[in-house]
Amino acid sequence: MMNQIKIYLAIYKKFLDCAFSRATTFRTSFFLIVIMDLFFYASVLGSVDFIFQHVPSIGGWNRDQFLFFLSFMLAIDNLHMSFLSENFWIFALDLRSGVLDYVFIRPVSSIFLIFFRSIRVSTMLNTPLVMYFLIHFGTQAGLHAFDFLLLPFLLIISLLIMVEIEIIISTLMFWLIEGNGINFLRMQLQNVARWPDFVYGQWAKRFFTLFCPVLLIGTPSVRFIFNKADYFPLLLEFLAMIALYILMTKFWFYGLRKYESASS
Amino acid sequence: MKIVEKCRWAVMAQKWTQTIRIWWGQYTAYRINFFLQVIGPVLVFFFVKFSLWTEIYKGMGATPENPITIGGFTLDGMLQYHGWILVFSMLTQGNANFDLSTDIRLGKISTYLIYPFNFWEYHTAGFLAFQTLEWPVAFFTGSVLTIFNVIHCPSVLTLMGLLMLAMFISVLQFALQFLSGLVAFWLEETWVLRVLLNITTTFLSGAVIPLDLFPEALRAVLAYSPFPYMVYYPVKVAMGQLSLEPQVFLILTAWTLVFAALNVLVWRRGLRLYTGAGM
Amino acid sequence: MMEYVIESQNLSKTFRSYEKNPGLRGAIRSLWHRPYKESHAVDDFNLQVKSGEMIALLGPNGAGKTTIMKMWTGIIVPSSGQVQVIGHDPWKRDKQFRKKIALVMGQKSQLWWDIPALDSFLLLQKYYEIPDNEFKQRLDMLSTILQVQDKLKIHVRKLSLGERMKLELLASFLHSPDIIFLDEPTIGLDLVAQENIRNFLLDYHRQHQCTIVVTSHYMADVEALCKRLILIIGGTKHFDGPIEQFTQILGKNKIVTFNFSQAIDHTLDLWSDFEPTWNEMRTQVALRVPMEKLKDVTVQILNQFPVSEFSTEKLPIERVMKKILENPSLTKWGQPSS
Repeated sequence: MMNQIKIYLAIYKKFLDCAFSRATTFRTSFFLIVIMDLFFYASVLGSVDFIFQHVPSIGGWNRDQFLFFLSFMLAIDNLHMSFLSENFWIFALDLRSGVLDYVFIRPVSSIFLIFFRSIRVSTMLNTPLVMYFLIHFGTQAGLHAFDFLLLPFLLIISLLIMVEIEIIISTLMFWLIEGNGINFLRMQLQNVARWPDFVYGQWAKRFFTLFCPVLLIGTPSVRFIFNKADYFPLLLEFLAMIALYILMTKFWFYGLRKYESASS
Repeated sequence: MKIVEKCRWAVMAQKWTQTIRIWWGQYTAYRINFFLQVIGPVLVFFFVKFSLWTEIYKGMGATPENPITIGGFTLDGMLQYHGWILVFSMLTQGNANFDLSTDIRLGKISTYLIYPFNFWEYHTAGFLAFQTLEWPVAFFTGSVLTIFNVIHCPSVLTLMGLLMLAMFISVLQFALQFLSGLVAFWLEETWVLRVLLNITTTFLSGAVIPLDLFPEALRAVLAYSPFPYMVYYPVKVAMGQLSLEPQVFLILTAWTLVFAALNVLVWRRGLRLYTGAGM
Repeated sequence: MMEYVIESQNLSKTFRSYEKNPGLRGAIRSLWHRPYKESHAVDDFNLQVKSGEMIALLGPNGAGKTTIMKMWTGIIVPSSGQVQVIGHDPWKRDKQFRKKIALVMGQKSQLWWDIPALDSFLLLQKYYEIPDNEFKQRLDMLSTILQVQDKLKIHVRKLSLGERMKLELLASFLHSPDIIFLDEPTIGLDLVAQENIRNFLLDYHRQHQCTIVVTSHYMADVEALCKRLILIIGGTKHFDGPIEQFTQILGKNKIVTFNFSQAIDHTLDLWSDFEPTWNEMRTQVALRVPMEKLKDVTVQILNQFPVSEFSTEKLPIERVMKKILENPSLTKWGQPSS
């Protein structure tokens, strides 16, 4: 088991090396992505800030609490963009071109090779800014040191759930072949997840918590931070992480069986 | 001489029609994809905003007997605003994914330099093909929203004016997106520029939250840009809160010409670079 | 040690392709009605390959060679039938199985495009858990044989097709696979590059006695590399045996080429028995002559016509292939017609 982990870590280190090598080759894109992210953060935080000029609270959360929640979601987005996002788009292309054939003959997990291969170094430049938002709005919202210590773990669990859901959805590409639509579906689910669950009506909330659990990505963690007695959603989130992992591996297995490979 | 002229127009019309047909085929080749890429995003955007504002007003204690206003909007007004944005997005967004940059990066430009139907004609045909597919969807969506009382149908005259406005806006959007694609002559990844443009336009045009909620200073600055005219202004006209002024068409035309001129400039420079480097 | 490294029994693969009428009407109709066609890419394919053999799968485009290869490597799952490769079910994709095989596809690259080839190799070292000293040794050896030592640190997209192909081979041989599958390895390469690749494969096979399966529609690849040829047409096996036997499917024939010092009447009955191929000026003809009639026919033509030059050669495989494609029943499954 330890040997396996060592091997995968060694492979991931190589992925990082390749990513840094690529980043220095395409310098203009590098800076444009940083700017694009900044505009994105400004529009998300700005929109909500403008709303709070006119209303005192939304769903019982004040401005600082809501902005902290958004910062939490932006942090997940930043991690996702850095370590995972690009791979979903590449997967759609590679599936069509048949290059995936090589991935499937390697003695390494195909999920690992496909979804963790490409790393976007440029987005990491914005990570300090996102961390600053988290700390700033967290402090304003009254978080204690213990809450800040919990944050990394909560971020990782939330990110894992997001990734598992997205891989499950991406597996549909084996049946649909033309995969870009699925990528847009993924992005729309990210848009839904970016808001706390209490903004949605009861049926939508049920659907996006139990059936397509994107609302388990951020809300349970933040709710727990604000109120330690509200731990049940967090427990649900943890269980979902495990259940989704099992579902993901099973569904991927069926996807591989369906794979028809582009003709030569 | 006249017959020759007529024949020339007939031939041109045929080329355009056939190219548009090919674009239809491409757009509809993957139906689910078309829905997910083109229609899905605007529907989800509307759904999120609908949910958010309903919750906000509910939290403020708004009821039919006690309508609260935020930034001058009641809940009905706010939902109407976003309902119209949904319809307008379908009419004007253009094919946000059309990637003419792929043509540039893969060297397909060479083909267009040889074809008797050039690059911008091919992509404009694509734009037209896309609009003819989107408009029925927009009409259908508008009808559904009207039936559910989210939006209210304006007068026939206003509706005609709005459709004309939508056409002007979609041409401006096309010019902007075309420009963002042309940088593929210099950039490897042009999607970044397109997304950047999309984020900026969506936010500054009032599609996320109404411009009425923006700080006064920012609104003053935005008045000098084309953004308010792309979403906020037509939606307010549709809601009957603003009247359709003829000078808006002039403003949109002026901005379109600016971007069209930039397109020509960038295309020429790009082509020089492209053919200089060899096919 | 098992006798057969590849055993296929009744192997079949069926694909579904959807039809759509052109134009807008067709596009809209296809929203609710999608007729499809099923194509049997591979149909009831049986084959056994021994360890250390070098075989060629030959056939026209769409014959099913690549589909068979993909079923053998576990990339796609068969619709029916059994297959065992090195004692494993390929589509189960056991880690041990994947460590023992290699695949090179002439039309698709496994190297990462915008980094130097060496980075790709270092990544593959990690995938296959190759110890450092063994990796270095093999890399040095293979890069020397393939003469690509100075190409390792260049971005792959900057290399020519021939250089890239050599690096693709290098990448696939790094982990010393037991079986190597090569799908059209010389496609698009110039003659010199093709010959280099073939020589490398022959040397490697001689030294390591691994099993090599090649698919190609270049006859030169087949003739140079493999003693055993499997002809596949329409997803089924039409021939399995030595190359010499294959060329004799059309009987023991020779191609005899005559050059004449003046134009000859090409309409004479004499020519019609021997499938003549004339040049435009009617001063040269190539005839397909059965071995037993060779002497008589040659003498007859030499006596009757002003022959300036003549030559004989074996019936090229291309001609055999062309004949068989026109008339697949010629093979009668491996029985040469005489």
